[in-house]
Amino acid sequence: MLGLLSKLTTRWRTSVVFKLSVATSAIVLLVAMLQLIVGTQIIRLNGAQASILTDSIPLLDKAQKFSKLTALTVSETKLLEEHLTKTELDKLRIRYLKNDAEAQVIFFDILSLDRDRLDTALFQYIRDEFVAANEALFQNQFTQRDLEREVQEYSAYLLSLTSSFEDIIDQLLIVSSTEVLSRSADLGATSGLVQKELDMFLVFAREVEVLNSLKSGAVDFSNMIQGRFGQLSQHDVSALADRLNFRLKSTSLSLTLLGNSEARAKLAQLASELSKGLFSDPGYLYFLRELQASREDVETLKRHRDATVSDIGDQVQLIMQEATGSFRADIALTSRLTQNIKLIGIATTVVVLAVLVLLNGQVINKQISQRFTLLTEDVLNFARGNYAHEIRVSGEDELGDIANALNVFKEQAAELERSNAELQRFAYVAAHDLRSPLDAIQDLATWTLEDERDDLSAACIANLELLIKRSARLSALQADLLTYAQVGQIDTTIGPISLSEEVNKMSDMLDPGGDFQITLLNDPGTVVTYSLPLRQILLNLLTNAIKHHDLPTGKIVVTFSRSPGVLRFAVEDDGPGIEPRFQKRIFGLFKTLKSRDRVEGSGLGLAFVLKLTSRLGGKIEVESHAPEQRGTRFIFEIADLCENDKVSDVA
Amino acid sequence: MDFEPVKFLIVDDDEVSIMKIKRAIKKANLGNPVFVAMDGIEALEMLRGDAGQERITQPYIVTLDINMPRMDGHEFLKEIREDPNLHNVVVFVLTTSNSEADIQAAYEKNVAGYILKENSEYSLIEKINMLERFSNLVVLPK
Repeated sequence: MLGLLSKLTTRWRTSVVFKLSVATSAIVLLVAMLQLIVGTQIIRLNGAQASILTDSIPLLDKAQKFSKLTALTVSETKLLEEHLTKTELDKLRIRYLKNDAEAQVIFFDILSLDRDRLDTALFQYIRDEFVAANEALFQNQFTQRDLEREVQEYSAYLLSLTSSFEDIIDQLLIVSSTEVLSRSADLGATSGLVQKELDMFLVFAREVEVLNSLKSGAVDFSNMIQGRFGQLSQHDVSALADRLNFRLKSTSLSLTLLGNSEARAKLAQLASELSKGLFSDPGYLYFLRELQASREDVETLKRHRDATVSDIGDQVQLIMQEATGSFRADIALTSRLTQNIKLIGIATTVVVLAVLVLLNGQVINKQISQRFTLLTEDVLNFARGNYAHEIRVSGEDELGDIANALNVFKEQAAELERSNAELQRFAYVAAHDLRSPLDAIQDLATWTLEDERDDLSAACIANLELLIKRSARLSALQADLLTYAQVGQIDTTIGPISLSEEVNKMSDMLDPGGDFQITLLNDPGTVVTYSLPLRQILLNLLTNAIKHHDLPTGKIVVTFSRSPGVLRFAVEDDGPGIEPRFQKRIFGLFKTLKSRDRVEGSGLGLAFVLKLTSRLGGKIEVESHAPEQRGTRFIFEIADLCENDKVSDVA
Repeated sequence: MDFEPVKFLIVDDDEVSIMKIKRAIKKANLGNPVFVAMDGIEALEMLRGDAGQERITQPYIVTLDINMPRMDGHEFLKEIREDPNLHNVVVFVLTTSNSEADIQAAYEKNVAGYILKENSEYSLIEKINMLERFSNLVVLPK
């Protein structure tokens, strides 16, 4: 473990690549973690959504069904309340049963929705109660109808009895009244009253009185029975029974006073039947009581049913509460999860950003970018030849290695530059210091010839002339050497140069006799480049073409062409040409192909041209097919600096 | 006012070079008196009349080589410019060195001209003629 840690620490210290890969791995890891956290939350969110679908929404469905059921129940109740008349009872029952069947379906739907969450037994009980109450209500209603019929039949029967009773009394009353009237007339006519007659009159008068009282009792009786049972209470029924009983008893008492025994027996018979119709079981009062009890039962049943309706309402409310509660909880969970996701998203984004900033700042920027920038600046500085510039990057990693290597290069380059400068200085001084003794030798020989020619022998004069020639050659060699040594300090002044003008000038200078025809093809007018080096190159090539020509006259063609950033010149002569095997040699230092006694030359011209073109980023080539074909073509390139004003740093 | 020809003081360490200048003066048919010093020290002695040398009096012009033993051209210029009696001396540099540094340093010490010594005798005669004409046309310090 410790070993691995120290291994990793070493890797971190010694490898930029490792730092980069650690940084990118950290970022990838962080993003993956973020994805994982958010993913987990999304899965939980999906769970909550599923719960809404599987829990809350069915509950809400159920609540909706419940409210439908409630509405149906309430409408059933109303229906029963409003139309529960005897005549429409059968029709109503059919409607009710239809409604109830629908209600039943809804009810079973509800039960099947979620048996676990419902107190099914309780609910079933409430429902059964409701149905039973309604059923009982109907049964009662039917019973009531029957009872009312019975009561009506009985009351009709009683009324007919009472009517017969009244008829008999009326007949008796007519007889008795007639008797009384006739007896009173007799009484008036006879004037002298006979006791017996008077007694008879009194009997009949009392008879009329009794009959009248019986009649009034019968009327009272029939009045009591006729059509009054609709709104009677239990108490009223008892009071009615008492009054009827009293009336019957008083009638029976009155009957005993009736003289006509036949009529008395008949009336007593009727009274007995009346009493029987009223009080026997079953009889009028019995049915009346039954009807009353049934009515009260209906009220009780109605109350009972209303209670169950209210229970159903309570249940519906409970279910609704549960459903909305569950829905609310699910929604709350969903919104909490969404909030969580949002917060986690923000938090992780912040953390990732912080880590990225940290990684960017500490690793990528500090460890890599800044050092890389510094190193680049240092390398560029170094490339510009600023060897004194300090390499500012250090470390044990790859960048540190590069910096170390660069330091080594820098030292080597500085050393090389120093030695080059010394060499150049040496070459310059050597070439320069050669000059004065050479000049002196030449001068002295010349002066000797000038001053003493007449006193010298022919051989002496010839030797002195040879001495002057040889020292002139040495002088030219020295001059060329000096120029070559100075190429290290090429004049890189950029300027316009008119090619035709330049070629004409050179032609006049090199070939004043006009033996050589020098032409410029594709004259571009003025070009912009390193003007002095171009002149030196052209002059050297034209000089060579004339100097090495084997005939006294010839043609030299300078062809110009241009490609992006490059000026290309071809200098072609019709001289003897250069054999391929010599073509490399001609660019070497002090290399000539002919004896210097035949063609004066230092062997430095083409070396100088090569040095110039290569130092200025150009190139030079030679084409010749000697000895099969005459002529040599030199092609060289130099930077076209017309388009951009950038001065190359090469020099 | 007596006409006094301008004297030439040639300061050069190379005998052949001195001979060459003398020949050029002769070929140009100039009658100016010519003095020769082999280095800066000898030239100073001649101008100051030190060390038993006869002092050269005005009017004169100095032709000065740069590379010399003991005291070179630049050191000589420094000496005379700091000398209250000699600070105004007219000096032409006559040398084979065309180094930019030499040219710059010479003009900073107020030389009247920087002349390149070339091998061609013809051009040297031309330059000597120029010096003679110059010395006749301008008023030299007393």
